Amino acid sequence: MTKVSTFQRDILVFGVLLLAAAWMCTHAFAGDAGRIKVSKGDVQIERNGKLMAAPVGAVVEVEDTVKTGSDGSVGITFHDNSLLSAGPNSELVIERFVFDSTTHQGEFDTRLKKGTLAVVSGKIVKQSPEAMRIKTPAAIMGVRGTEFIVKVDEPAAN
Amino acid sequence: MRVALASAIIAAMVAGCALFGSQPNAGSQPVRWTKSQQPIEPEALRPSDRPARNDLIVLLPKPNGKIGGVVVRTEGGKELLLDQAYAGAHIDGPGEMQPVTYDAEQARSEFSSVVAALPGRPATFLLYFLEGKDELTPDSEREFERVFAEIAARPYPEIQVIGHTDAVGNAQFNDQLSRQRAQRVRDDLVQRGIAADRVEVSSRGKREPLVPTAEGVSEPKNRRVEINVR
Repeated sequence: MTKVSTFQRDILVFGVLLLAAAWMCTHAFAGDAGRIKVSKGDVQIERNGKLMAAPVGAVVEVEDTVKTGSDGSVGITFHDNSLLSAGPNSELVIERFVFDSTTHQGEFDTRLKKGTLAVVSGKIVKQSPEAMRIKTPAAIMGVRGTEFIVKVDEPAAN
Repeated sequence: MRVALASAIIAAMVAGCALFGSQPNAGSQPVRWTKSQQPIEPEALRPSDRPARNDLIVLLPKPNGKIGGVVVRTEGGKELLLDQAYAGAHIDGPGEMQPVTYDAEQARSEFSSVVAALPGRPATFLLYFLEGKDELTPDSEREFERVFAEIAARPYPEIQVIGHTDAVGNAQFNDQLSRQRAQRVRDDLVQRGIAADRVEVSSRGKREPLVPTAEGVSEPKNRRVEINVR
């Protein structure tokens, strides 16, 4: 074996590992974020463009949109013990959820497109204030450890 | 050569994460507004007597513990920190934000349906054991009934059972004992009707004492199983 071939092999190994690491990073967290614990009336999850029922026990994944109808409300418990609930006529997107159950480090981004939302922060916020963010069409909230309500209302659009 | 390869592997993992790990919506950068996030209708399309927005953020009193607050930021760099119960922010247009104080009664009635949909608060229980055994103390036998009732009352309960010991005995003995204790609690829950796949069991031996002691000290508070329910 010449020196060059050893070098080439190392480059190949490096490349394969780079791809493997990239795959792991994009897929490890793109999944299970929480579970539906309360589901009343019309509640649906939109995942990859498809609407599905969202009964108690259903898994909520990153990139899901949770939708409630005029008689619907939904409550979700996340893996870091954060709680979110949405009232009637709401649309909530789980944009990002990353949580390390050992260090409690994480990132949690959700977007309330319309309706009402109640928030109880969990371990992510306790570990890193403002690592949980709630976005609305007009504002971004950085959560420092609390419980609060958000209402998005566009009278002009109604 | 080995060292070089090892560092190449680590570099590859780190670079891979940095390259592909971030998502478009990732919040790792400072939060910034982009125009696309802010669909603004032309003024002419809106009835002029209505505000563009009627958004509201209201802080609730926390049942226990201090209020850390929430920071509300709008386009144009406006920022409001809400850190008192029923303190609120009202937004009636892009970048138009005013502080408001909400009435407790009004908040309760206006937001009753969304607040009622909040899942039960996650809870933690501790059960204590007899020295060197996987048998509960008489007090904890009674506490177990309460824990079981709490779990059974929850919709789709998820349970973590974590076994611990005090510092009497070597590490191997305590690893084994803590595992037995956790397993015992799990078995009791499953026997009483809790679905086995909802109970996650782990054990920490004598690594995480509740009350730090010297090696070999018998401490009842450390002979425990922690049960997290959500």
